[in-house]
Amino acid sequence: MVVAGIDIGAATAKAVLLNSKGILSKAIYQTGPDVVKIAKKVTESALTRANLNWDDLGYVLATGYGRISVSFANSSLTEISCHARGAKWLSPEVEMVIDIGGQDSKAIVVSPKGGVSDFVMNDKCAAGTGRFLEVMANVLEMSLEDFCTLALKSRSPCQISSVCTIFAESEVISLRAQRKPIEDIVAGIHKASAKRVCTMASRLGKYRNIVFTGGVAKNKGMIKALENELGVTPIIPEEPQLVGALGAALLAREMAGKTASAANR
Amino acid sequence: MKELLELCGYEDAAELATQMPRIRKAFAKLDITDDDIAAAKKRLKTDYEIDLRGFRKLLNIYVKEMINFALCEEEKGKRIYNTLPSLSSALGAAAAIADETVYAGFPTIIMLLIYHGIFKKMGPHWEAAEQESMGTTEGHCGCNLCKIGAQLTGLFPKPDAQIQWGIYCDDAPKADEYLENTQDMKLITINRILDENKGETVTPRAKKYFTEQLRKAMSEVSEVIGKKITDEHLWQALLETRQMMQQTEQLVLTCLHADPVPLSVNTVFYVFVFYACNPSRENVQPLQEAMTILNEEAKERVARGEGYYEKGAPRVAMHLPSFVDASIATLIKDMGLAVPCMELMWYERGEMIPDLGETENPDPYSILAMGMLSYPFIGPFAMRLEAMVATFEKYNLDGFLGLFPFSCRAMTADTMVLKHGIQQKLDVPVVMIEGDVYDDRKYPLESIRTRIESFAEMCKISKDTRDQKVA
Repeated sequence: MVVAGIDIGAATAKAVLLNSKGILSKAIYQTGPDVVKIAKKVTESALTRANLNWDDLGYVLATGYGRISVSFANSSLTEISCHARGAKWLSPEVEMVIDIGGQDSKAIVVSPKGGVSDFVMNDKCAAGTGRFLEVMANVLEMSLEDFCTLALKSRSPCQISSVCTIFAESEVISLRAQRKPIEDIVAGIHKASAKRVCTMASRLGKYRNIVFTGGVAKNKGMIKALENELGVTPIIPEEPQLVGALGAALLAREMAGKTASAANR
Repeated sequence: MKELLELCGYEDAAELATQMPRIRKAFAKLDITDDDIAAAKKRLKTDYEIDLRGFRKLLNIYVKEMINFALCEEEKGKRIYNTLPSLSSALGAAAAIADETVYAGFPTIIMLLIYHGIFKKMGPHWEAAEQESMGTTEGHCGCNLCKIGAQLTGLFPKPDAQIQWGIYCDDAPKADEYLENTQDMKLITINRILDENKGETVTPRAKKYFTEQLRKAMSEVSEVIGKKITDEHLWQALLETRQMMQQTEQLVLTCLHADPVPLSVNTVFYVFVFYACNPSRENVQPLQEAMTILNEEAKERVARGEGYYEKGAPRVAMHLPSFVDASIATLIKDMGLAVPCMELMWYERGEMIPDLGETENPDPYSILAMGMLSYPFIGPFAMRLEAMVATFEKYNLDGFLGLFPFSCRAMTADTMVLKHGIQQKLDVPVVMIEGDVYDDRKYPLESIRTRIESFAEMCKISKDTRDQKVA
């Protein structure tokens, strides 16, 4: 049976198709304003890549903030559960997941069976999310790509003391006016963001095997900053943005199995 | 309006007809419009157990208390207000027993629960507090914003005295002090000694000091109302409180022992709140009747195998539900959890108030002091955790959902320690959700939804695992 995990995040929508043998295909798009439309589009894209059509889908599980809008889903679970499961599948030794998405960040303690033992999230404030980094890149008139890699060149990151994105923006402009080296400012921004996330995660305890997921996990500057704050090297999946959708697909496969067993009795 | 009032337990058409002019007057004074009433009706039908006659009768008393408060300036004599963080209004009740012209109530709670919980009208009054005295940040507890803002806007008529409690947090007494200095409000202050003694829950020194503080405060209340409040008056208030406690505990025990849990935590909370804020004298008997009916209805549901929550749902405890947002309790149910009890109301406390003949030293102040100081919620952390662990083990609970006001320094200081304590001792899922049980502007419901849903997923897996081990 083919199952799908659909993760509708604030910034991107992802789909992963799975069967008993493994991953069949994946797709990712910018979410945009129409969540219902993008859910269909990303699923269709994944189906096309796997040479399948809608009739081939046995079970669909939706996750992410837009999960309720995926009308064709058989069920939904929060992204917390899905990230834990996806990370466990990719890295069996995982103890904690740190997920930094476009508009929220979370830390999840993963149980030995790939469930959730504990979690904490920040979805009230942009600081410590992908949005914070985007805003800062804009302030410095840089592409996000350049912004991410420039941090690695710094030897002495600036101190960014503001906890709020808006005030941090003012602080960054002020640092620029003081002619601080741009790489130090960029590294300081990454450091502030990493610190915020790690302070949140530390409430759950200290762990060594940490998987870093979400779009921000593709940011080399952030990986370095997180490593410095955590004191361990985080594990970065090959496609960190897809971990939620993968987890959803894995859980879909389990649920489909249970449904089939129940029907056979 | 008639439909709303019927939903709020006005059963007797003749009574309603007689009361209507007074009700309309109060609603006009409170600026409750037809639009507010229409929205309130929807809210009542969605988030409240108005199918229960006992709950409707309870709600009826609450609405009457709101009306009484709205009209107390013209209908009553002296006004004595109780305030949070007190969880006893025995002093005010005794004053009202001594002199029936006295209005002795707990306006903050009544107005948060009904004026905002059902009618959503507190916003401008909170804003008034923020504009005048408290920052526009989220640094102050919604109940203190209510207390100050409502004085500034005139929603609360100025009392002849307000009881100020220095027994738990600093924010509340500071808010009272602000009113004393800017509104020339008379305060009657009650403090306690914050002994933290790991060996004993309440030290003799703390008990003695608090007893005398209560006695002194009552003497000041007597002075304000111009009538001596005797020990007998206080005993009567305590015995009424005991009856309420016993009826409430009966309800909670019914919920703790049943699956499915028969009542919403919101319903039980509305019951519990009445032993913090005494009803007006004419509502004492109706309150007892309402609670008797509600207890019977709960038992009937259990006998029929029915419940507010799903059968087999993971049973989780809470700190307390929101005063102002009953939709959170509905959300918890929709996520497949059951809440049979809350931390504020699970301790067997009825026996703390003996009959007069049962004690050698019938000092009601000493009894009241001990009752309040033994309350784990405001006691030393170790006492709180011990009480919680004992209840979890006794009633086989599956998790703890803390909805804590992040602006409350007293509660937030304990929150993470409590979480780790429960996790270590009990190995059950615990989630601590930042919100504000007094002010629904302070959190987006969607973010609470995600947390509760994730917690529900954890609880279901944890419960299944434990059930399989037992099997």
